[in-house]
Amino acid sequence: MLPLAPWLCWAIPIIGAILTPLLAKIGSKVRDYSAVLFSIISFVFAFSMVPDIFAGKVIDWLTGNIISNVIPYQSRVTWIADLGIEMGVLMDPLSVFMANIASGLGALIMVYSLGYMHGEPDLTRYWFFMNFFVGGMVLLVMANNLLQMFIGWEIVGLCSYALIGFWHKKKEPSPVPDYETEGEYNAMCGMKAFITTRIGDVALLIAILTIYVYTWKAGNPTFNFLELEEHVEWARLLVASGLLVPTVILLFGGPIGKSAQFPLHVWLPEAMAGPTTVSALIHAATMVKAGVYLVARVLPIFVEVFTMINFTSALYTFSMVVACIGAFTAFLAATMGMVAREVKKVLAYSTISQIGYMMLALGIGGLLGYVVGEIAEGYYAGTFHLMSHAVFKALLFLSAGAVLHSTRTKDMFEMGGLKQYMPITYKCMLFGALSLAGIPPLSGFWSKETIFDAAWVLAQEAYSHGYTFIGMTGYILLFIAVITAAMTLFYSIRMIAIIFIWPKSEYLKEMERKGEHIHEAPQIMWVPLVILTIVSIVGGFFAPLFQVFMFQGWEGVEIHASVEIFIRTLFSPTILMTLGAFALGGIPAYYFYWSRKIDPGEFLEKHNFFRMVHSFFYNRWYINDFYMKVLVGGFIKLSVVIYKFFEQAVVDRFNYAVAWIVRRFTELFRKTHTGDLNYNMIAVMLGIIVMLLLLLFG
Amino acid sequence: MSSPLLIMIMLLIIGAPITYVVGKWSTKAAGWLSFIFSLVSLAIFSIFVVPDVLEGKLYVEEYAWAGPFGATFLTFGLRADNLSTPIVGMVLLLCTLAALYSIEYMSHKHNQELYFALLLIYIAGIAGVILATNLVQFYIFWELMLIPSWLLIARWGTSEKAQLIAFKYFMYTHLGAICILLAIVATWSLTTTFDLYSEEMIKGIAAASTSTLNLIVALFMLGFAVKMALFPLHNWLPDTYAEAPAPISVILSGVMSECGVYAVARILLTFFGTTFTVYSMTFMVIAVVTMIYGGILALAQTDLKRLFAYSSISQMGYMFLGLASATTYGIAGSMFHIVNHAIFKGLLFMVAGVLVYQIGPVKGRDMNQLGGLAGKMPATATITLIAGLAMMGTPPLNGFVSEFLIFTGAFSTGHFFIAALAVISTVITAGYILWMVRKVFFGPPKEAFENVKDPPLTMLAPMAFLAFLAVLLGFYPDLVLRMLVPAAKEIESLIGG
Amino acid sequence: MIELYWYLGASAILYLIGLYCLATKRNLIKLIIGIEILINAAHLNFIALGTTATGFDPLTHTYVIISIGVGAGVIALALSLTLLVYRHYGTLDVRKMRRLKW
Repeated sequence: MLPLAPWLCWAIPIIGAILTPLLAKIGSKVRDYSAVLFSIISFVFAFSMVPDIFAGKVIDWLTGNIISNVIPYQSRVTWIADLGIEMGVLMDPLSVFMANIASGLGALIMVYSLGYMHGEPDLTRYWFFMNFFVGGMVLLVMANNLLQMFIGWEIVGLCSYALIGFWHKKKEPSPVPDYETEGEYNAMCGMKAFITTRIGDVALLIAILTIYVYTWKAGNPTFNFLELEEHVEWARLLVASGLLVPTVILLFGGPIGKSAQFPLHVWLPEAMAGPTTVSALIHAATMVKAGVYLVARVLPIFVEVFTMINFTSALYTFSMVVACIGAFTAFLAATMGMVAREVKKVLAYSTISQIGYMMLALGIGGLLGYVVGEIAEGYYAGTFHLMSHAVFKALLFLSAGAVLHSTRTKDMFEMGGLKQYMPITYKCMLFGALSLAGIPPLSGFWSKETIFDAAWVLAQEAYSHGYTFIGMTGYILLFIAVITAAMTLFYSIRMIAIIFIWPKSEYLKEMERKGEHIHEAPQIMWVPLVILTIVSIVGGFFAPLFQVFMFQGWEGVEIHASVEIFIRTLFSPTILMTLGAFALGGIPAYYFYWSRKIDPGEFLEKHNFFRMVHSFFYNRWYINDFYMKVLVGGFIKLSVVIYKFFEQAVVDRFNYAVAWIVRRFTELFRKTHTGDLNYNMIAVMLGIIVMLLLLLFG
Repeated sequence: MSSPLLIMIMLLIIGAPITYVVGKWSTKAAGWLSFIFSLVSLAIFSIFVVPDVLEGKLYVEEYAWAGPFGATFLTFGLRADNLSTPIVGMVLLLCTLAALYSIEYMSHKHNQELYFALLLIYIAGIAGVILATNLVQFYIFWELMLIPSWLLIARWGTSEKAQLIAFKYFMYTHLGAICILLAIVATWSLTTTFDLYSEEMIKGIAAASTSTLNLIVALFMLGFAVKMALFPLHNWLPDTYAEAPAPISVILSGVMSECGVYAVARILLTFFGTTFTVYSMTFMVIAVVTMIYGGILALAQTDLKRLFAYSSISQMGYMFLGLASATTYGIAGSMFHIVNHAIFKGLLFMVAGVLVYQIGPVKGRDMNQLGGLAGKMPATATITLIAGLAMMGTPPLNGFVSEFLIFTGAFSTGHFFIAALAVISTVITAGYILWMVRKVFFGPPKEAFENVKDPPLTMLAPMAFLAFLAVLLGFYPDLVLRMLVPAAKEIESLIGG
Repeated sequence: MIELYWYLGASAILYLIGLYCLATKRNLIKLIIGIEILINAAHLNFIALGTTATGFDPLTHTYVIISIGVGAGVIALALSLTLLVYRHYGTLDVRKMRRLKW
């Protein structure tokens, strides 16, 4: 690897971000190109770590020294000396893999931004936050301890907030009636993202601090991943106070928020208010994967630690929660994606759904760990799907960006007939959609099949080991996953068809009449698209290489020889289910959207049942409305009520009451000052009598 | 220099009448003179005292003060150690910046020479409270803080009810101070000395009965709780902070209320630690209630300065939580939060002052009428966002470090649910801050604010410097923590022992 | 010889008479006379306590004589004040002079 690569791959974008305002003073071109350059350099550093993982040792390319003979390798620096809190980087397959995804896609999307954001005002702020984001994300994945990971976690949340609300100055009318202008709406979307994810972050922080406190009680205070795995006393103490299961569930709260899983999934559709490059980078390829990364990071630790302390039921609970929430979210989001009107919203729901798949896979991995002691199957499925999804989702978003850029509308039903105007974009987006749907031989197919396969294996193994409940759950999860795959194909076809195959809409015709022509994306935008398409097509075939990479340093994992993986996948029992799913999803989609034999609008009008279902899905299962009206609205009303009826009525009045009592007392007492000498003398006499009595009897 | 601490305080006190006299001739000169006096004090402190403390040396100056017939029973002592140095440094820094800020802000108000003179006495009072080693001296400086601030609010406050509000503030704090006085006298009766760091004090407290100690701690806590605005004694704060002139709000919320926190650490935790920790759970509950109550009420405000005031109440809850947990992490976190809160809350009140200065005393504070100012005042908007994010505890800013230290301290006491509740209340903080930033700065610009622009340099420079500090301490908190953590460790060992 | 308590009793009675006068009389001149009686009661007390069976303490007698002299000065001042008050208020009734009322 290049010298200091683990540190520099995240430090360089952050430094670049800080330098951006200064570079902007020199010139806008300088600023733009140098911002992109920083992210490219970061990717170079991240990529330089890959050969070391394959080799199993870390070699410094500058000096030729072998820095470490074993993976994982960590490098540490003290941050807060007196408390022993450190900063450090951990180089192992998972972190290097994620770092490459983050910086690689980051660099590609930054290049794309040069075209997409060309001519926009406030670009300094854009470049600053984009670079800061890439740096924060890489920091998150390269961190060697929970605290530093949390710092990266919050940084990406901050950049996400700032970038979603990037166009807060827009004066056009707002799409929802609560706000006057689109700018205000955008700002609200940013805030919604931040607050919703913060709820998850709070749970994560509680878990992190609890773990830290218990490591301190065990005599070894640390946040470090490797040390947590090594010294397991903290877990024993947590079990003794009954807090282990709550802590790991709370730990999962962070991923629920950041990765937009149920019940904290409501922020991602609104996050589409930001520029499409932001949606591609943050809300498709990287930040939302941070939760998956965290689960993947802690899963091996939990397996190791809980086995050592003989409390594997915690692993069972944790994995069950992860898998079930993942599966349910996948299903939930896919239903919403089937009826959405805006292209970016379809992609947003699709992202939520696909991340659900990843969580499902990791959860299955954990359950496999509980049943047979080896999580590799599910772990591999989850991370492989992460990679393939990152590529094709970024591809889809960037293509959508090209489409948005040239048609200036977000609503799919205002597009149509773009196939002849934007052929490159069409082909790229088509491949992306098919990969999303899991059509062979694209990468999405291989990664989804692996997940189904893992679920099947779980069910089989569970039954053979006597865990009937887990076995049943395995089959149910598989079933949900397959149904979701059907829906995925449905909405993918729907999306492509409406945008490209359907006849040109009135809106577009109006636009052409005004003289604005629909054109293909500029080269700087379609080159990244083509690159991503190629990766998406051939990526699946790199599965064996990926497997070798990911399991470097793991003990006792069977690494299959290259062709065996493909044969296993193609001939697994789940392949029939997949084909069934394609039929279930593909045939209606074809009739409704591609060949347009049945008009969807008329169909809905004729069939009441489907119309009700459609409306339910369109209103996002009313979850979002519930949160906004009951939780948020209720809370704000509560604060006003407390202010009016407690603070002002009770506490303020109490003060005035005290003051009034004292004043009344004073007024009463004043009456004794008559100014009359005779009364004063009577008082003197009384005083003397009292004193005498005291003297005599006191 | 032989006695820098004394010179520092005397410079401020003597500077006051000089500033007044100069001010009669030219108000601008008075403003700059007050800034220079406090800057020189800060310089003396940083150059002569800080390096020694960083090396680990304790810096104590003691002067015999009062006593009949040659014997001294009161000493005037100034103690700069690991605990007080960062706090005093922050106090002087913030007050210097506030003085610089005041020059422009107060430029159209009446009686500026009196304002600047009072400002200097106020600063001297706060610095004296923190450096004091003798309880009587502590009390004197405590009251010395109170009187100039009362006058400053009454004369230059921004509402017609300013005098009433100042009076309410005075009565509340003074009643608290009387409780402190009673506690001081009770301590004297136990130990026959007023000096904190003396043999008799420690022996006397060790020998005292539990009921006496409980009484003393309760009285001290009452006084400090009023100053810290803990629930339910917080009622003086919203009106006071909202209606004080902006630079005074900066100092009030930035450092003066934190003196209560510091005093708890210095007096209660160090010397009455064993009694204090018996009630640790109760104090933690009070702290969390304060945090949540302040946050919820902040959400209900439409006036910008009142929102910041309730936010300050909430932040005091954070600080007290750290102390209530009585662990190294918690105490270090609390003290660091004092420094951090001075930075970001001082900054926010300066921003509120900028809005009032640029837009107007009524419109500039009403959040329903503000909006879209980011385009007009980009520097102010960026600085506000930095301050707001720091207060929310976002890394890599300073608020994150002190908050996570406080929460770690809370968790390590073993009271899981209270600590979890405290962490959850950070969502409320995030809510009202982001809402405030969005309402005031984001959104498209309104025509009413066509001519609004960034404030003049003497107001912007202090704000920029504080924002820079927020970032710096976020990346490198050890600058301050290397003093505070050993101090916290020392206090914790005293409690345990 | 006459017992001490007779003298003390007499001075107590004089004291009470003086207080009664101050408490009930309205006329300023009467009040001044009341003050005078009070002073005399104190004098009597002093003398009585300063005399023993064998002799007397010259210091007490000295104090009393000085006090009588000072008393004369005080009464002279009081009477001149009364004159001024009469000129200002037109009356000697003390209940009409209530400027010190709250």
